[in-house]
Amino acid sequence: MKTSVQQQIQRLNQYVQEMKTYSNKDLIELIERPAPNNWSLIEIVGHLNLAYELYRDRMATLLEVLPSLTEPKDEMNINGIKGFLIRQQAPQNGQRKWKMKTFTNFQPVFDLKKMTNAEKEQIFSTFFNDMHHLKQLLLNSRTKDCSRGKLHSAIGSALKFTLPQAIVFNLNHIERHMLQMKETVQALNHKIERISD
Amino acid sequence: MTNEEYDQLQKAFQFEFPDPLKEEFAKWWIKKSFKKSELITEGGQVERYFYFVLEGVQALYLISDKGERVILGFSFTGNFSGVFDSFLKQKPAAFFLEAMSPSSMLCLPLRAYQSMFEKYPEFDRWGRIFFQNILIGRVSREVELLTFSAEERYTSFMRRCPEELLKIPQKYLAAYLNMTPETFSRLRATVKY
Repeated sequence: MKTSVQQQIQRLNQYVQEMKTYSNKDLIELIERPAPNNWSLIEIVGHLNLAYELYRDRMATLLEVLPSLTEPKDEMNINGIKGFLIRQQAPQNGQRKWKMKTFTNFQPVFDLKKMTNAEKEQIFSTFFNDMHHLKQLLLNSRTKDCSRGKLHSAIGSALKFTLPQAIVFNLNHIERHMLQMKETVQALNHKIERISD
Repeated sequence: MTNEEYDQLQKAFQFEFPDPLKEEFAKWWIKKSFKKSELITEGGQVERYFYFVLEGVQALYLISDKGERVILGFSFTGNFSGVFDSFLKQKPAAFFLEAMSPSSMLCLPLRAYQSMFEKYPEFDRWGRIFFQNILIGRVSREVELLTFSAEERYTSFMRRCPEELLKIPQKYLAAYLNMTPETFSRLRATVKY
C-alpha cells in the first residue's frame, strides 16, 4: 500500500473533528452501554488512549535515532505481510472485520456509575494530546530515513514495525474504533426507541 | 508590519487606503514565516487565515486516493493565498497549502476579513475583481487541461510563469501541468516559448 504523510494527516484531522463532536456529548450519553458486554462511548475513547500509550514513547524514541534526510519524503510504503496486517485493522466497506479479543491491558476499567465530568474531560484531553503527538511524529518523520529502524509492536518482538507502519497501524486502529463509536450511537438510539415504544 | 510591507499590501489591493484604515490594517494582519516544505494549512483542518504573500512560493494541492499530490495552483510574492473555501465556510479543508520555498506571509483572521468588507465598502470593488479573476483563471486552466496538448500546456504556462516559480522542483510544475516530470524535462530542453 502506497500512502503519504499528507493523506495520514488528513485522516487524523478528520478523527479529531469527529471526536470533538463526541466530547460535546453529555456524560450520561457517553457512559451508557448499548448492551452489557459492549463498551460505552467513553470506554472506547479510554481503550484508544491505552492502546496509544503503548506506542507513544516507542515511536518518539525511534524517531530520535533515525538518520535525517536532506529533503522531506512524503511517501509511506506499507507493503508486504505487515502491510496486510495493518490494513486489516481498518474497517472495510463500512465493516469492522477480523474482530479480535482485546488484550487485558487495553481493557478500559472505569466505574461508569461514578464517572464525573472532570474524568470525562481528562479522557478526551488525553486523546487530543495523543493526536497532537501523533501528528508531530508524522510531520517530523518527513525528514527522517524511516527505513533505518523498527520498534516492537503490541505483541512484542515477534512483530516489529517501521515508524510509518506504526503510525498507520495506530490510525487504522483509531478508524476501526471511530466506526465502533458510530455503531454505538446507532445502537443507543435504537435502545431509546425501543424504550419509548 | 513595516512601511514596505504595508506598501506591498496596498499595491495588491489596488486602491489608496483611507486614513483610519491604515492603523487598523496594521493591527489586523499577523506576520508569519514558514520553512521550506512546511504545511501552512493541513487537509482536514479549518483554514484560519486569508494570506498575503510577502515572499516565497506556495502550492495548493489535494491528495489522491493513491496518496499522490494533485496540484491545483501556486501562489507567490505579491499574491493573495490560502484555502479560500475552507476559510470562508469555516469547514475542514480538502486541500493542503505548503511552502515550496521559505515563505513570509501576512495573515488575516476571518473576523478581520469580514470587518474589512463591513467597515470599508472600498473593498467590495477589490473583492469583486479578485473573485472574478479567480473564476476566469480556473476556467482557463480547465480549458487548458481538457483541450491542450502537453506541449501547449507547457508553452502557455511558461509564458505566464514568474521567475520565482521556476526555482521550485520541476516535479511540482509537471504535476500542475498534468504531465510526468520526464515529459516536463524533455519539453524544457526542446521547446522554445
